Amino acid sequence: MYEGMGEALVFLANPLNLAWIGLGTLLGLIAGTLPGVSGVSMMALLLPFTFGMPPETSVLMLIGIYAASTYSSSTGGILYNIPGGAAGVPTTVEGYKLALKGRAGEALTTDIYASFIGSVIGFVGAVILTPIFIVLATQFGTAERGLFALLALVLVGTGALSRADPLRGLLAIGIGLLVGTVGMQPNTGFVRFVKDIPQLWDGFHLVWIIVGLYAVPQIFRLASLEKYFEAVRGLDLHYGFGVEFRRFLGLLRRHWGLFLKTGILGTCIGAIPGLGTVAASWLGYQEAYRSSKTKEEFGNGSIEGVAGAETANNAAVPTTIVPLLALGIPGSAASALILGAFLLAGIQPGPQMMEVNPGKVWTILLGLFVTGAFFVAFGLPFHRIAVYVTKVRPAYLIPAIVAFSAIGTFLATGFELGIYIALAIGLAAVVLERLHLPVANVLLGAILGPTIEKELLLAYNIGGFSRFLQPSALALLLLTLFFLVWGLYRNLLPGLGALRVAKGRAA
Amino acid sequence: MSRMTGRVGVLLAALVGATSAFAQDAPENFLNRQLTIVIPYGPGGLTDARGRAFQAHMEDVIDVPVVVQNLSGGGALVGTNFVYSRPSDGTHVLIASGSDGPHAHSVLSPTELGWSWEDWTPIGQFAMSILGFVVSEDSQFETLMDAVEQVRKEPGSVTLASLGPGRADDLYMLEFMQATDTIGKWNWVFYSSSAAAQADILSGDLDMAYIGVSRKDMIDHPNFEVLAQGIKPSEIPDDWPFDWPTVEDAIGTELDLVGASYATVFAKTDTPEERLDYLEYAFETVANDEGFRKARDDYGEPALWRDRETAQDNLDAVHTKLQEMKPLRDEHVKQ
Amino acid sequence: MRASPGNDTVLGLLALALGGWVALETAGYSQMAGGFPYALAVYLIIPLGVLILARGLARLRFEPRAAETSADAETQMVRFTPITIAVIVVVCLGTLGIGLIGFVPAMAALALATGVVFRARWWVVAIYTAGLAAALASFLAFFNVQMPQGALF
Repeated sequence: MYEGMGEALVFLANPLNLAWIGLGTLLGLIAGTLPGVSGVSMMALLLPFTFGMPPETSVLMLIGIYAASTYSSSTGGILYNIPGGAAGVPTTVEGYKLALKGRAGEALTTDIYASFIGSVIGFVGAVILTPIFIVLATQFGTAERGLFALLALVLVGTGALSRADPLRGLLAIGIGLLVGTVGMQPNTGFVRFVKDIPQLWDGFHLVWIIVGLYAVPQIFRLASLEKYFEAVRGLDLHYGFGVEFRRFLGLLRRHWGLFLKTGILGTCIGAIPGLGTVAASWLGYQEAYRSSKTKEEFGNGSIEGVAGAETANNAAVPTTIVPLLALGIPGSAASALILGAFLLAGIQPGPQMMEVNPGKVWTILLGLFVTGAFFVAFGLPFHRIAVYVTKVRPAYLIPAIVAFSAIGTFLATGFELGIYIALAIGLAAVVLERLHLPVANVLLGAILGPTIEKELLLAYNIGGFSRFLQPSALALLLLTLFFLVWGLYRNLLPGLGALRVAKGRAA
Repeated sequence: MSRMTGRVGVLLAALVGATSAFAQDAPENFLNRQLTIVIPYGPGGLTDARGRAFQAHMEDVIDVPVVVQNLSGGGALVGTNFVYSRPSDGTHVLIASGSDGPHAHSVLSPTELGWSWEDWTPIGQFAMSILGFVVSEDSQFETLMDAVEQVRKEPGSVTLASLGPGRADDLYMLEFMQATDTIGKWNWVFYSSSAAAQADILSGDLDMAYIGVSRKDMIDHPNFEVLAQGIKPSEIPDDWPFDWPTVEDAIGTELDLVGASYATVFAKTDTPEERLDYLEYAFETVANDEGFRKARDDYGEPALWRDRETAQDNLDAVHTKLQEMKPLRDEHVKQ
Repeated sequence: MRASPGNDTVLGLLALALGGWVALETAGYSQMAGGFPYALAVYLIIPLGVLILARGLARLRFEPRAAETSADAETQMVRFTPITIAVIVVVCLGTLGIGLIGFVPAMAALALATGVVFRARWWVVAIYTAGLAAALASFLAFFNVQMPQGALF
């Protein structure tokens, strides 16, 4: 499989091709940083411009956007608590708290270097393990995909995310799961709750939910946060590359195992069709929490949480494209767009491509690697300016955030009802926050719920209960049950203290 | 910039047109600002690629910018409703496939619609949506009839996937099952995309799937075998790249729905006749354009052109048949 | 960050209402179509609502009244000051205005109104509004995004 690597290296050494990757990286950084404009939206916007370009070039630009936006979806989260995409949410949870404490620079630096380390691990993993991943992809059927999503939900939901108040954490996940049931039930075609509104038959789009849960409350919060802004203004916003880099090296020395673990974790999760970078970032975050010696920092600004989530989601990027390159089957929205670009260019991805044209496969994998270097090169100078975003007056920040959130929301589906739905979700989110309900949990439920329901029902329709007793499914089922019981016992019961305290006082 | 030159172009064209109106055989171009092609799905998919192929080659013909507008949701119903909400001036056209056009929605929609099939008219048809029965390379079934016989012998023993539910594909399947006397005997499940079904043929969850095969890589894909393609034997074009047996040949029965699925450009029926004429002229010119044909061929989906009349006959027939079979669907596809 | 007992009580009641409504709504669906949301409502949302409500009531009864939310927690939440409420109104009107007067005019109006709410200097607001409108218009034009044009115009 290594023939064609030379050809790819020569192709990538061409300054013009590097420039296209650079442009894609830049656009990906912009897309991820703007609230609501996801990497997938940006790729979709650029698809028409790729007509007439040489096929490899357009594909390179698209993967540049994809990889860079996965990294930068957390930048907006750290700076103003609005993630650019779902993969940036765990980092938002911790990064924004760090920024509030005046550690925005440190969070951004950890974010970027962890992402780079992740992309290197992911690249190496994809190169070495692709044959294994192909087998893995063919082993993962309906039951396994559904159970794996359930496992991810159980791990994260009973772990890091529900630590502060287990009852609220679980309730928030339940509400998220309910949000995910709006629209057409995929196995039967029955339209739940919204029969007369065809715009909502596909459910609430993920971008609407993210903008609603994060951008809208943050807009209103900005208006009431004179105090926070006073606090930030008093902080030293100077961003020194050297200082920050040395601080990161310190972090790396102390936690190198975490980077390695979450990197490998992300690489493997990326290869599972349908889950991709989002599940990777949550599980990376959970792993950071599990192995942390300073668990109390989680939820209040944990740099380890940022490192775990970012290493994992960027490590997942190269392997999310493996099913597309190796089997011709797109496993995510982003790889479906890349497939579209291939087809428009007259290239048919699939097993033949590995044999007929290994150069193209290598060009893409190496291109992803180059993107990693590019986003570090472009992102670092950007940080110096970015930390000053927290100084911009709300009077100017608010209209810009509203406008770009509206564009992003509109782009997701192409009709304006989406903007109003996002606003309505946002107003509901304000109420949820007043009630101390964690919105990240709602999002997690809304993302994983539809996969869990659809795949498990499908598996049941295909093989009945015995489908879940096949070795790989059974293993996942037992793991899920184990972690559910263990998670409830170990992580959640101590948190139920409030009830006992109340009872104790009563006695 | 291009809009400016576009306007100058239109002016010039109008001048030339005024002086030599009778010398030209092309209908008069009524488009003065832009033509909007509405794609009822998001970017990157099959329908999107079809619309964008027109966009790339159309501006030379009509001299005004062509805008592709992606409007997803409701299984193509949102985009369809949007075009219907526009004035009937021919500036917005809809691109739909055989299974999700207004002819299908008007029969199958679970909700009340603000329009009926009579409110729509085809401008023409430019591609065939080829679906096929796909099995894994190491499947026990060599032919489609092998699977049918297995199901007759042992009902419930073969898991068959199709795209849906709620789409015209449900009825394609029922027509096939009716013709082979196997209704209720398959373990029938639904997938939302061909790619997802392909993945589960590989994982072993599916024995067979009726999914999109009009990609050339399916011809010699080492993991998949196409047992039959859903195309009418009488309508196979000369230079057709796919030589799998047709479903009709494989089961030895004529079918009305399977194989009657064409990608269609739609406009509203009450658009002025001369504007419909012009749109047909414009789309036909592009569909026959060398560059367009090459691009479509590279994409893996050969170009063709069927005029308004032929398209109308085809869609009317499909519409009638869908209505006829809908009770059968309501009985067998339970929500 | 701990919520107050009253907060628990309200949340518990809301959860019960939500769970109850979903259970009633989906009880009429077929088992395949309604089973998942019904099970969520009956086996997760409602029991959690009961627990949270019970905890809230118990704390209301037995805990001494005290301000429990820390200042840190407070910064995480939208506080309803006159300015916040004004901004909420402006943002809602501006967003709804997208369908009426078109995207760019609606956003320009929103920028102006926000400037007024925050009593920023008029000429800075004017320059900023013009700049934002120009930036948005060119973004849309460059990418050929068909944002709503507005029904009124």
